[in-house]
Amino acid sequence: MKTLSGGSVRKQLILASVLSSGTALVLVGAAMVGYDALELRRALIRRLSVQADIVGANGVSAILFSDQESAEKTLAAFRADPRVIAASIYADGQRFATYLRDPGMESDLLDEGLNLASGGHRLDRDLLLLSKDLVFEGKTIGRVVVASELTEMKTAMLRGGVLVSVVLAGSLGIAIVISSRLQRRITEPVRRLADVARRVSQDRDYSVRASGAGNEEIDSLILSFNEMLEEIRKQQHELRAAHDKLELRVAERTAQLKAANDELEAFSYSVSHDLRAPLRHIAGFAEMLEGQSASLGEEGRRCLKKISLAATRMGQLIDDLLSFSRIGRSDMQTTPVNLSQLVEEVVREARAEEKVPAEWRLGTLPVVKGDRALLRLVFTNLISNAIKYSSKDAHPRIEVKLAGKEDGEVVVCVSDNGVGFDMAYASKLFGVFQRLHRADEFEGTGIGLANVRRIVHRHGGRTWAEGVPGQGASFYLSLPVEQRLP
Amino acid sequence: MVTSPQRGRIVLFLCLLAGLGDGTTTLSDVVTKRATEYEMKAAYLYYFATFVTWPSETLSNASTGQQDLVIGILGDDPFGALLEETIRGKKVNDHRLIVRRFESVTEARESNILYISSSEKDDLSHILSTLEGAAVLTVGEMEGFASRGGQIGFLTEERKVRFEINVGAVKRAGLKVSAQLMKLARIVHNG
Repeated sequence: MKTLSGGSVRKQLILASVLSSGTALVLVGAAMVGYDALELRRALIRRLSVQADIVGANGVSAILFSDQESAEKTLAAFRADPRVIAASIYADGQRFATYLRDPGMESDLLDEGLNLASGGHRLDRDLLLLSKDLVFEGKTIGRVVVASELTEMKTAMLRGGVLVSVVLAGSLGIAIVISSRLQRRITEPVRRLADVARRVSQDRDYSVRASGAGNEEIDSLILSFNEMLEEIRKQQHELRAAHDKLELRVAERTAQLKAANDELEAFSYSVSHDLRAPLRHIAGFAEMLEGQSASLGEEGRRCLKKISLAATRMGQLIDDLLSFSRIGRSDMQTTPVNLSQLVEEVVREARAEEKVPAEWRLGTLPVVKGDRALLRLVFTNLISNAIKYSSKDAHPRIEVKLAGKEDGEVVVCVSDNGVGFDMAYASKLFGVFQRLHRADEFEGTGIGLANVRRIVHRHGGRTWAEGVPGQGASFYLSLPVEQRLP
Repeated sequence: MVTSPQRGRIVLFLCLLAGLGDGTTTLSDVVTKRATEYEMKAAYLYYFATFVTWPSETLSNASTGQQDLVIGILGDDPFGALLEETIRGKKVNDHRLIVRRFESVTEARESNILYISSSEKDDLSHILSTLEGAAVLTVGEMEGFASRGGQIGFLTEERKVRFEINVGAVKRAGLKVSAQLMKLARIVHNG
């Protein structure tokens, strides 16, 4: 309880009630004691005044008859009141008779009473001096001066102070007890509310509700809180419903798309397949005609040659299309595949195609998860491409290496120092039958990279390429890494 | 007979001598406080009037509704003008005070306070018996005045004027003496 602003609500509430009740009590106590003191003082003055009157009246005759002894006897009546410490009767401005409670004490203080008005008094720290004129037949014949102690007043003040302190201590104790009970009724629901809020934010459980407190303000707070929770819960529900609906729609569309795709593939497969029969006829009959080429003439033979070549090329295209189709339709047999081994095999076979011996750089490659036959096709395509497009260089250099390893996938790069390509056409590289070079420059149908992309996609990976015309090309593919091996 | 101023001077002189011998009193004390014996006695007579209550009928007059309070002097007058000076302009319970000097006791019955001079000491019992039944406060200064049947007798002790009261005599006269006065007096019961 260092300051009013610090600490918990609990402490502040207790402090506030204790302070307010304490202040009230101190004020009331001070007022009571002050009023008491005032009243007591008035009573003391009144009492002393009456006593002075009585004694004075009894002393009149003693003064008249100059009977000092009698006057002293009269003053001795003050002995009944131990608070009166001294009294004197003055006649003609001279001390006539004196009473001292304690013999031997200083009595000069009484003389000051002569300076007071009749019936007047002077209140010192611990002394009340009161003076009364003695009147005989309308004439002032003397004066009585009485000095009284204020111990009574002091005792009363002390008693009042002690009483107020005791009452204060008691009341503060009770105030603390009561306020700590009351504050529990206020802070307990707030604490419970905080608990509920914490549970909501931690568990994301919007179905819990805070309970009431039996306290208007806090109940309204709890009500608002619960309404807020209900609102959140409703919105979440709606969001989830919308999300579910969306998912369903996506699944539906995907299924439709897949069906359409399947249909298309089946169609292209059967078309390709069905195209082969008439093509075989064309090729066969063209061959037959070649046997009788003598009768055709120069122009006829040239045309026949073109028909034959076109038929062969078309056959090739159809075969490629069928293989592409098959890649999309065949089932994948997923096993761990050691890429280093695979690449070595492929390179060994591919070197037969080399026209100029190339410089081979084969890096260590990881083990991935995939269909070995399909992956073999990928690398066969890439490597044969590399050989093909670098064959015109005097010193072909072909490199296969691990280009990166992140987020559960590995990136393999196959690069060469061949003709390269313009990056403007990078997006077309992987399309079916897309070619950047003329067929008489580099042979091929343009199905290779399409197959590569298709296979890598089926493995859940990506393909991309970088190239600079005349400086070479790099083909990248990412594959999901084999989890069992690091 | 010595005149009062002369007597006053003599008394003052005596008092001066006494005061000087005493050593505790000063000249001013003597002059201001120690009034002459008869000044004091005159004042005392006036004071007695204030502390004594007479039966109502003796002080009320049917015609005027009020009567003078008479201080009588029987025999030789030791006061001279002192008594008149003392009571001049004074009233007790609205009764004007007057001084009368009597030659005969029978006349003296009309007084309320009667100072019986020491000159009458041989005749005292007769005077007192003549005053029997009258509400008269008898005051004297002769020796044994109160014990001889007088009511208030002056005594002079150590240069102070004191007095004794014969309670029985006061009672017989139908008077009431205030306790204030009683406590100052020496009480005499006999007679």
